[in-house]
Amino acid sequence: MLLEQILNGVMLGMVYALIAVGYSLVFGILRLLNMAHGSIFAFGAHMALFAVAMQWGMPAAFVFSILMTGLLGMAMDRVILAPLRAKNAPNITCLISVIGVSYIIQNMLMICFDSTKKTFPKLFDFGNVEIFGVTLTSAQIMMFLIALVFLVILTIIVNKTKIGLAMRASRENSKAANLMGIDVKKVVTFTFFLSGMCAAVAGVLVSGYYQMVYCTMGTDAGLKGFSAAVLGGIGVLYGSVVGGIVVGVAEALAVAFLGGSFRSAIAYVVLFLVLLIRPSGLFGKDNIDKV
Amino acid sequence: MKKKSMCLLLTLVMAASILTGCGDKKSESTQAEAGSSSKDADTTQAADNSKEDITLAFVGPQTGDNAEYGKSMKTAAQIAVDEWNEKGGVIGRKIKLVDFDDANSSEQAASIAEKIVGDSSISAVLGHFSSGVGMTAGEVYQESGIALINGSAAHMDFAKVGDCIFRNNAIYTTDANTMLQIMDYLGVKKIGTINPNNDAGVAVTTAIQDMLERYGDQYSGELVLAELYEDGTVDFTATVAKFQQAGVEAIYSSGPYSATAPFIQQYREKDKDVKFVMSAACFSQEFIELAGKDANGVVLGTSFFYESEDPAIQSFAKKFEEAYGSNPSTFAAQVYDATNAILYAIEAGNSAERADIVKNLPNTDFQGVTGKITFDEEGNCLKEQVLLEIEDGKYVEIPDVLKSQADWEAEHIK
Repeated sequence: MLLEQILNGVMLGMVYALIAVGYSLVFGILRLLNMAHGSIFAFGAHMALFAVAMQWGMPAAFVFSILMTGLLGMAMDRVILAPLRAKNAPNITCLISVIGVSYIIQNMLMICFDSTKKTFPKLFDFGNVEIFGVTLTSAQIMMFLIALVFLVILTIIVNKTKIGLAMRASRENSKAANLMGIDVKKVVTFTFFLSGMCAAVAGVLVSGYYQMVYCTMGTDAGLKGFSAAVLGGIGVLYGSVVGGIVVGVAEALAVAFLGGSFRSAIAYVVLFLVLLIRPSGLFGKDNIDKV
Repeated sequence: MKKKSMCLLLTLVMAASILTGCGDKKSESTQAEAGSSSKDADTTQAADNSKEDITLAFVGPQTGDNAEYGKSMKTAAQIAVDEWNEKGGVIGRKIKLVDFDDANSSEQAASIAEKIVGDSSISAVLGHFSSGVGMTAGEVYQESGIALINGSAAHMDFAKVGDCIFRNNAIYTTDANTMLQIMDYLGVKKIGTINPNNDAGVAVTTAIQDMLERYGDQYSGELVLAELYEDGTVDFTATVAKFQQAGVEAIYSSGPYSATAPFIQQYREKDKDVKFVMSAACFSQEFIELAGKDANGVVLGTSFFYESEDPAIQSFAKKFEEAYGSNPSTFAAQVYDATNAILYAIEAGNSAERADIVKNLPNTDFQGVTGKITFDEEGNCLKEQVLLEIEDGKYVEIPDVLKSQADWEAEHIK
């Protein structure tokens, strides 16, 4: 029973982890909380739904969703955030702007796609697997594995590639990076593209897992994903994964031992406790904030 | 370049706000119209005999999770109004339906209720979806003496708000009895329940526990686990594991289809044999679409079934299908009957005055599409239910299983 609930929590945690890395990526470079990430996640899911409805097939839907959502992330940066940065606007201005963007996206989805819950095809269905006496569904296992692979790829991009090096350099000191010949603007745009892609991957996987898509799916999941990012130390990618799993397991155990009404409350209590002991999160670097 | 893109963005945002603005304006203008006609009515007076249209208000969620319920209930109310208008209206006047969106939120419902009672052209109110939301708004209607008939609230205390509040839906006590009769029929011993943690969900859980406490020896089933969940939950895996641990054989869920469908899907993945018993909230095509093949085998009790041979039901189902594109749900049918109840009350009193409608509603007595429509002293309409099962994505009636609560009590309680 306990093991089963912990595994359920880990699976749920991967959902949060997928969303959390999107927050972490942008925060790592820009020190900006991209509060529109939840809505962008819902946008990704709806793009996939659109492609599925057009009968382009699942792989095409996946690619279409990733491209469209990546472009949306990029567009958001180019059109709204880049001009604000150019004018040296305070960080709070950018934060309010992205909250605004979040509502614009959500309402646009509501206008174009209706506000009801819509069914989404199941991604994986090849029976259940038994591990240590616990039955796991194929959807759970595949989601866990794909999320894991995706997060590893993301880590490799950030840590091993040239563009990743540029991203890290811009994070350390954007002025110096600029002087060294790194086009920081391009790096930032790429980061937003990457974070949009993350949102799309998360959107498609989560929709397939729960077999449904709806406009407000990003609100609750976005907040939990954000908590997971903070818990793991925002700006640290593997921290997001651990953070997501901690939040997920806390929720599953709360439901198991206290009942479904305690789900969110307990998740946030755990968040507070961790932050009380380690204010910068589990893997966060100290004095990270130099706003 | 930067300025240009900024300009472009601002234009886009403005264009967007104009577009969305249009949608709102439509309903605003109908409200404004309603408002201006009320002023006319005040000045010309002779309210009853004037040839002004009679205005009824429909309130329900048109956006949000429960939008499908609200939209289908509104369609049903409109069908009833159109039928009367085709016959020449009521007491020689045409009928007009104005609609409001409360998004099934108590806050919005309260402010809409204030708006409605302040608009003297509105004679009576239909709708509100959830019990809690309807009860918040109900206080406002009761205070100003305008009648509300609801077609979907099941909380035991809903109609107790006052003499202006009526409802045409099975109350939770009836639902609990229906559910336990179904469990007997399925031959299950261990029952679990899952309900949303809100007014309605807590009330139905209590109703079931009360029923078992009073008549427990009359039922073969036993409640082993009663679970509540937060509104908006989509991940039920932890709850499912809990039910499996408790070894339940059948689960009852009273929540809306948008929460019940993912619950069933996540349960079915782990357990193919468990049985699901739902409330009438899951008697809707959208439920089958959302739950897919996992909906097969689900059983539920409802006061309305569109495949009945009754010509009135056939005619209503056909009109609804034309207007809405799917078969009517229980709630839609109950709102259709509720609309007729108001219009009959206006006809009986030969008056569309708010007070006269309230006075005449308790004498309602006609055969509707959801059974005989009469109201008891509290304002509840007793409902008889039939058992439906979902087979291959279709609702199929299983006749002669369910008894009305009165019959059941007569048979079991000596």
